[in-house]
Amino acid sequence: MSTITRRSAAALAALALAAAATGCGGDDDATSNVSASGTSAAGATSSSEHSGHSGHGGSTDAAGGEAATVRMQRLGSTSAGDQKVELDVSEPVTFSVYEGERLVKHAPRKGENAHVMLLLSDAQSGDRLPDATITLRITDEAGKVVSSGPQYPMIGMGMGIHYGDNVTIPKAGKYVAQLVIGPPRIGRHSDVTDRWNTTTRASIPFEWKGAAR
Amino acid sequence: MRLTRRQMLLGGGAAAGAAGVGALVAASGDDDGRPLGPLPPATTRDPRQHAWDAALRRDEHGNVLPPRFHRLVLCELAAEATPRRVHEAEAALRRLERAVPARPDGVLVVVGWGPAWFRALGTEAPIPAPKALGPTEAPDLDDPAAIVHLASDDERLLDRVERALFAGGDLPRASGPVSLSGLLRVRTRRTGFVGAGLPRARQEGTVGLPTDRPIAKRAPLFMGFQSGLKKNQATEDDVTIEDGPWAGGTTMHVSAMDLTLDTWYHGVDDAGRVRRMFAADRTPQDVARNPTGLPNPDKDLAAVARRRGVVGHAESMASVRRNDRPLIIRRDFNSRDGDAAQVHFVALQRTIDDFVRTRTAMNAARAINEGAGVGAQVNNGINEWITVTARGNYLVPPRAQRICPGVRGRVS
Repeated sequence: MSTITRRSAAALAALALAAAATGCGGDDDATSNVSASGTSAAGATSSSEHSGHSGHGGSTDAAGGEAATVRMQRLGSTSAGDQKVELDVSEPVTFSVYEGERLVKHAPRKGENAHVMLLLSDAQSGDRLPDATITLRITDEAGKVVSSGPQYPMIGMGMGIHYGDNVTIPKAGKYVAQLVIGPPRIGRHSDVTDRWNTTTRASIPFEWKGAAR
Repeated sequence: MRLTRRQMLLGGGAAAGAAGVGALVAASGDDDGRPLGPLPPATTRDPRQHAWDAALRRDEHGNVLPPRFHRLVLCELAAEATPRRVHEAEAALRRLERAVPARPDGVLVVVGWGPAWFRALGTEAPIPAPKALGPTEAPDLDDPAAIVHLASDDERLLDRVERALFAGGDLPRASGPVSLSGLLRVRTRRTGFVGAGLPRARQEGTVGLPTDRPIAKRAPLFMGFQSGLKKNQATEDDVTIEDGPWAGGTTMHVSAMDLTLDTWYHGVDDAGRVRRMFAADRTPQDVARNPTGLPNPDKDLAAVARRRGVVGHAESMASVRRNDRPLIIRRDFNSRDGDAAQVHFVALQRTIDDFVRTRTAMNAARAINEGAGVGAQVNNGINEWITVTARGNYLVPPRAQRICPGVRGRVS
């Protein structure tokens, strides 16, 4: 943590590291929930399954090239103005969030059956956008809310910067992920000063098969 | 030029001026000429609809205890607001108040009117249309003609009164009809509760709450803290409009929020919850020692974020005070409408701008990215656990004009 300067902290505000990727996950009950596939989608039963950022196309995350340690499944994607959002899901994970100099661990809780990951990028360049806000509200077919809340900015090995949380999706069926995306507050070059400046709503309909894998 | 029906009601084109209130027609008769008859006597002379405090219970520290059950009924106009319908609606509320006292063991009532009403009236609204109050939110912007806030400690009585007002139910002790249905049609209703033990009793099966840890037995709200402490409330006089056509009234902002409290209760410990709810340097012991609210000095939030890595909710709003009191009265309550944990935040203030200043301060924009981990939502007060889903602004007129303000003269 000593290498994180204030400036870099500002660039990656609320940076959270996936515990499994940094080795600080310990041996809590969450570890067994994380699929250490270690490779790309080999063995995946669905063409929408993938590991980490392979298959996202166009992303320039620093983690590019490394396989994700968590198996991710693409549930859908959408465009919101000059942004693109992809919704991936894995089994629940332990993740950690900084409070000052301290990493606070968030382990999956009873009943949680998915870790949602929202991958926010520029629609044109595919660059992932850090330091934005995404609030997610998942509703079922009847319009009932099954999960709602601000998503934590975080990063994991091979999956790049995303926004996510552990959630409970009660049963197999059709759902809609309703998103409110707030502008990234990271510093900008002049060529992107006028992009991503409005708070936008987006929604991603998806089908949940009852489990993240 | 032939006058339209509405212009007739407003006393001709003159009513289109500034507040549109000076040129009101007296409600002495309907446009068909039939007399309207006397109104039932009023039960109070206090012009302030929002003056509840004198009737409410207090805890042992002197904090006002809100009624335990609440309803917010958002309405559209069911029919044109003729003098007869306005008269009948006012008579209905008076009959209700004579049958059911305006106390927690009865039912307290406040009627507010949104920009949609003033559009229908053809006058400039004294309150602005609602808007998003920060870059992280995109709420539905409510636009009903009217909102009716009902509150009571007796939930069955509350339901009965709500049915009588809006759904044709009867109210045996009333001396006549207590229905508002001739004038208002329900568009949305929101229900809720606040008070020791109620959140815990409603925890099971509510989306957004931890499933493996009970909410504290005596907690009045899902987040575990008491709201509306003495030192953290404006007074009813503070929020009362002092002059002009709406003197004696106030303004109301009503927002709806989803709560997601798994990480509130599991990612954060008692001390962390206090840091976030109050201030970065506060402890659970400080909270226990100050049952009427903590002193809340105005601090440099950026410095707090750099030093502590977190800023508190109350701390972020410390700069927005008048006479060392907040600008708003909060009458918030929790809800499990649709089986999801929510807050319905009812705020009263002299102007909507007072609310906007208060709520904007809660975003703590100055603190964001100043400390490692302090973002727009994360480590920023309670913004990490709330999703604002709706906002609406209303005028709460003085009692004499609580039905269709501006369409008729004062009643007495």
